[in-house]
Amino acid sequence: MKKTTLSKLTIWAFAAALMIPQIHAADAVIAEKAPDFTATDSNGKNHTLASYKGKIVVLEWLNHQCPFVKKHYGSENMQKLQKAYTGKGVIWLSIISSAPGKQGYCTPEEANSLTGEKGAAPTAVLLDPQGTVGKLYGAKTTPHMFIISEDGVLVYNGAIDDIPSTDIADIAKAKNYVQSALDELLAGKAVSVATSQPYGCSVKY
Amino acid sequence: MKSPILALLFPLLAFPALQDQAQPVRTQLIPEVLSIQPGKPFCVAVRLQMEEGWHTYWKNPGDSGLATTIQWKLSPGFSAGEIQWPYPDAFRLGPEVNYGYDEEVWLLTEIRPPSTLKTGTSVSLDATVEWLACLEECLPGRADMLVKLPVEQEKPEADPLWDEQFKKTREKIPEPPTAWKVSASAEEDLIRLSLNPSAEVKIELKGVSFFPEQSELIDYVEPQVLKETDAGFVLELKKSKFFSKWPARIQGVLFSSEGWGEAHNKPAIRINVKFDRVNSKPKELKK
Repeated sequence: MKKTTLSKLTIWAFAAALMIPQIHAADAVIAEKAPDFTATDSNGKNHTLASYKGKIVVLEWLNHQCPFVKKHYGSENMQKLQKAYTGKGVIWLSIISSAPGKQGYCTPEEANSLTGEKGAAPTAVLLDPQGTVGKLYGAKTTPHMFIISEDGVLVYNGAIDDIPSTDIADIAKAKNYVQSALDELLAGKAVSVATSQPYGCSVKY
Repeated sequence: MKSPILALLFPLLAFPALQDQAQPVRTQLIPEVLSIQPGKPFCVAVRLQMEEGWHTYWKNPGDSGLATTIQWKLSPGFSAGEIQWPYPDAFRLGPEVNYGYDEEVWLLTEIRPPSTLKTGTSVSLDATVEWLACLEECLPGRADMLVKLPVEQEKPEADPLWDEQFKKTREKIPEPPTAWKVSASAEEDLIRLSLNPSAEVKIELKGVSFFPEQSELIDYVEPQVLKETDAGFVLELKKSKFFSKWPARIQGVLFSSEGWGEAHNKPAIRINVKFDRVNSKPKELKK
């Protein structure tokens, strides 16, 4: 099982390097096992999804220069969610899939200083400059949110909330899908809204 | 006779207020008419000109992006219609598809003045336009624009300066089909649009694309497959990964590079059809 995933990852990385048109059908399917990945964080530490078995995991696609991301960080909406749920034992991984030279790309140092500057509180910021994890999950936008349950099943894939805009004033009026899904999971309930159309900037693969 | 009016009008049009220099989008507010007649609806265009490579978005932006919005501030008794969106282009960006416009787009809105309007006065039309423009990176933009028109009893004259542009824009605004019967059904991950022409239509559909107005319906990246049937054509679309529930109706725009053989023969038609969730496709076609 693991072997398949690894060889698939290799093929993807290879295709990216050769600029071969990508297979866009991602492996991340709702109510199925979330595909495993390995990625290095901004402090040089490796993270695998498998190592977080037994914990709820949030994946957040990040590009600090994208106006939609600015909306959720400028308002502290994202930081508040990160603090609240990592405080409840949730693993929160912010993932930067921008390719080198493209908007949002960060060196490890830049990623750390942005985390500090914004007061962000994820468990880790994963650097994915090849876009391997992004394409594996089919991450379309920044932000694009995924939630994986304690038993490793993908339970949410979609937008952060239900008002697509770059306007901070909309946050108070919006229904936050990530918040409701996490509250449901923490209460031992099923996630009522499992998918929604993600909104934001395209991921700069 | 027209030149003094034009001279008065032109500076207003040429220098819209609050234009940010760094913005890749230039905007103008352009009324179709030179005057307003009480009670008689008229059109106003918001013109967006994008710098090379940049695009703004259609009402459904696709995989990423954001639709342009227009907020009208109008005098009492006036009302404004919805944006009359021209059919969009599909932009392929890496593993994503966006629906929008590059170079230039005219977004038309119908303004309905009250019949009690006093002639000999003038009326201001005030629009706040907000958009997201993307090349690879994205920049949100906003412009507040104002234009003044005199109120006259006579039938309004079209502004000769922009007449042609309004005509060209209307060619791109889709209308409901008159000679086609369109229906929608689904089977597992496939959504099928059946496109059946009436007897007098003789056309070979080519380069057909469907642009859904609603999100969470189709996968924007997957190829759309056109097949011939006994009664006409069927366009097969792949269901979106973000699909949550079957909509009661499907709304969207169908484009064909050869047109639809309709009287107006525009390249795009607008559909709003009941969604037949129960599979009505004959099974034997499959094998």
